[in-house]
Amino acid sequence: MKRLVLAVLAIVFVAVVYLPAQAGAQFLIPGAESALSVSFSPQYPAPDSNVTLTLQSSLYDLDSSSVTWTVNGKEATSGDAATPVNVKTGPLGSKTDVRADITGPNGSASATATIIPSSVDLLWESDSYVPPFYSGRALPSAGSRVRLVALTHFVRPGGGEIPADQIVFTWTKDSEVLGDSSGRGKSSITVDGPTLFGTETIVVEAASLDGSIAGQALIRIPDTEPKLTLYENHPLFGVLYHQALGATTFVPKNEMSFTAVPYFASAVSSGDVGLQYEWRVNQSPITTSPTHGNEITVNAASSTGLMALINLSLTHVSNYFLSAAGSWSVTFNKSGGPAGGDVFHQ
Amino acid sequence: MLRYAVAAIVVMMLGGLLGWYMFVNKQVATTLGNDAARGFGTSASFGSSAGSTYTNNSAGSTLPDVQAGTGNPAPRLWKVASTPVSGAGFAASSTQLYFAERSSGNVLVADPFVSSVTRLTNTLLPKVYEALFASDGSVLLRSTTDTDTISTYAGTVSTTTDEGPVPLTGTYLPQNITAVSVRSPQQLLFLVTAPTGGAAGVTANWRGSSQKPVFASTLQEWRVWWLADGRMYVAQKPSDGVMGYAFTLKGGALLSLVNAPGLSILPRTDSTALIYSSSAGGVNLFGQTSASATPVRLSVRTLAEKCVWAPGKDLIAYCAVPQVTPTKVDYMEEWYRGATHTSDAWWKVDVSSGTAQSQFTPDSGTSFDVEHPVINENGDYIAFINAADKSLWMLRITP
Repeated sequence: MKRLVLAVLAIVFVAVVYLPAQAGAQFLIPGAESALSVSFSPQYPAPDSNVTLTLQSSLYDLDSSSVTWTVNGKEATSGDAATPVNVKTGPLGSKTDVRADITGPNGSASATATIIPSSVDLLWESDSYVPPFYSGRALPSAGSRVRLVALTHFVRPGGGEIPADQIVFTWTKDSEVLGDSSGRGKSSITVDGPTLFGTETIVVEAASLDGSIAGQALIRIPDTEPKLTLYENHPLFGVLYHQALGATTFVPKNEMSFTAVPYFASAVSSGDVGLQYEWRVNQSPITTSPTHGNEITVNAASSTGLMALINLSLTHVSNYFLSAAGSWSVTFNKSGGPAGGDVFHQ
Repeated sequence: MLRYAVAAIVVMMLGGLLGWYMFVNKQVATTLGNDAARGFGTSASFGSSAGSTYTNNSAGSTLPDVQAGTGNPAPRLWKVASTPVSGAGFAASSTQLYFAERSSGNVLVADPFVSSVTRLTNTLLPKVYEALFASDGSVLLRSTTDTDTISTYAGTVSTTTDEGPVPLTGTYLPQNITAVSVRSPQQLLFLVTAPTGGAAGVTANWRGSSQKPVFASTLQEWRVWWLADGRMYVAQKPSDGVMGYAFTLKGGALLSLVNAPGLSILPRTDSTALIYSSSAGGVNLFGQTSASATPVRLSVRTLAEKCVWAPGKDLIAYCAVPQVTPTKVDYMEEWYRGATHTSDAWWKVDVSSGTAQSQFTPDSGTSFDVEHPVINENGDYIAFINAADKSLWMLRITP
């Protein structure tokens, strides 16, 4: 009798504990608990910006479901589960917890997400030539190189900013991952500039070591044609960088020294040994100093005409993509004055 | 046989001499060609009908030692110097304006109360492209060589001028300082050099010593500011349509300040107010009353570097605004290259209210393209350089 009672109790235990569990498992589709997710747009939300949240599911019929959105524990909105909603992020270092509860013909489900805003600044410059004291940016031309720096602004909620050496950077150039330049703490790279008439697309993705904060930046850098600019090289004042000579210029002198400046050319200086300046004055080739090929002096005192048509072409001994040309028509004053206060020509 | 040998030797010697003559002659022709291309042998500029150095120097290329004023105040718009200058700065608590001649590097002082200009120094430092002044007249004179090496001379002007011009005393700072800012009246320097692979910023005293590193970057092209209140800013050099970033420098860290395409900024001392401009298919000027305030687009369209903050509590700035709005997409780049110039008028901008009103418009016969404007401590005079010819001007703000 005692054995019979124990056997009955054992059967009841199995029936009560084990079988329902098996039955329940039969109704739960594998993966159903992760079949609902929330996607962001933009993928890496910036601080104090609007983020569009969209529910995604391959299991639940969102068109027939309703949703209740909860942001940081407070019900924010409810409605059609297929309709995206906007959420505003906080400042750097903030955290926004989002929860979506859906109810529909396939049952109920929920999904959660956490938004930690971040930003990545992608700074760049070229190593192309600009003269000393030039106030603007050097722009890349064919053959030059481009330096880039990613400045991340990753702040942990309740914590400090994550330093660059605690961040993994992945650099991509024209869809090709630059493996050697990517990695932990590699926040800067130098790459070849755009090809002739081309545009380089550089993308950097950055993520904290635990992956909780991530960001991305993209930049398109177009090729710039070198700008050959002609200036007077004044004996007292130096190169008059503030007065680029126009296509047609009158000078109240009978002699002038000129300096050509190859803005944005791939060179270390205007006298770079690789640069080849070919001058022509009134169609006649002019020999220049080997060390100052970008300078000539034109004297009209003993010439028959007063107009000098100056043509200049610039090439490079090894960079065949470097090519620039300029033409200036300069009319001299044969008498050499008055020169409007110029010291050598009263 | 001997006769043939002697004849052969003679022929060979003659041939050798002829070859040598032709070789030397060709070298001489090449040298003469190079010399001619450089201007050698052309009509002499010195001592000819074109004048001599002496006569030229006393005839207007450089200013006379003392340009005696009329004793009367200068006109509201005063052309202080017609010949190129390399920089200017007001003396402390004064309307006197220090400036440096581009040709000689001499320092002069202009006094609008009596319309006088007096030469203070006579040390020749030729072809000074950039000069920065502290409020006591100390000056940084910056020049460059044929190989683009930048030199910076930190000079101090003696205040004793009774005996006429005196030598400028000072020292050369390290070569190739790419950017510099003067913290005045403390007479401290924020220097940026560009060693291989980046930029290094240090603070230093006027002699360039007591250096402390404050900034490092793998990028080389920066503009820097060190304001009187001690705040430091760095910004990328701008280009039209290219995103530029500006940062506050704090404890060696770069804290984001503002970013915009073609960005140029003008920070204000004793305040976090900011004026900045953006050039991208047109120029726009923005004002921000504090670091946390929303920027407001101002009604005038000009570059931030054509503006100067007025002293005082009110967020007032004076901006030189092109009378014809530039429409070129690469206006700023052309302006920096000296390929385009504008004719400006002065506007008073109230950043707090976001309004602007005309302050001074030159008459039809006068044109200036303002750069490097500075204002005196009382806020009643603005000095600026005309970017078109590097002449120096002074404007009394009140009519």
